[in-house]
Amino acid sequence: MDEQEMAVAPGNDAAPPDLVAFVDSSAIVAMVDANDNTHGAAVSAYAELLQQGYKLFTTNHVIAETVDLLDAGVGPDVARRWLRDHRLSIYHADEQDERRARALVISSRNPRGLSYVDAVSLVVMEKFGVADAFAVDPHFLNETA
Amino acid sequence: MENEQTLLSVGDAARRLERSTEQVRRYLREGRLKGQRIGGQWFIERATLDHFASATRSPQTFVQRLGKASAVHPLNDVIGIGKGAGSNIGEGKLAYRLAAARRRA
Repeated sequence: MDEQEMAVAPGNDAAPPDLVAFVDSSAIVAMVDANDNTHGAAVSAYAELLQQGYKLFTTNHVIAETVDLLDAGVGPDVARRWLRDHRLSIYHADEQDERRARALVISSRNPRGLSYVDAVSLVVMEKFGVADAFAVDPHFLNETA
Repeated sequence: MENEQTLLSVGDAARRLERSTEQVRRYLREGRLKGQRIGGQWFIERATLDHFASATRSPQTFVQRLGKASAVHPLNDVIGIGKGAGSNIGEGKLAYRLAAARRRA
């Protein structure tokens, strides 16, 4: 994936007045793992988001997924250090968000399926009118496009 | 034991609503929040407050409260803190997990 693809993926036109981007676990892993193929591009995209004045946030589900991915990919010490040192704002999905996410997963026609974490992310993005996602997972980017 | 009929003071209501006590008194005076005066002090039923809170909570509030990333630097301290085995999360999270599992096997 090149830097052009890595840059913030535009979503629908219902952008809120503030520039806000949702942070997916794939972007976090890319930022944390210096040896991942996407590391350089992710760091550049992050710098661009800061420079453009974006607000960034994620969900409690993405936090859990990130710890899991980092644990598998770069080990539990790095996963714990990330958990301790990141300063991302976290939105805690409520019962209604989860009900909608469950319905999305169940009704997904995507042959790859839709993960529950991604479904919660999509529901939360829609809820807040957030059209931009900081992500490198092509499947997540496709869902938000 | 707190239940729906539990009466909350203005201070308790302010904490739950994340508003000032003066703001809560204003809601009560204006009738936007229903309360009762006992011995000259306002009290609010917990169920009434919960309903008021959910009715007034804008879905944008969370996003509006966020600080700009350029001020918070939410991921600056974690850039490159791990050195994996040359993975590619750009292929997707599932592929990333599978590759990690294969390396461990």
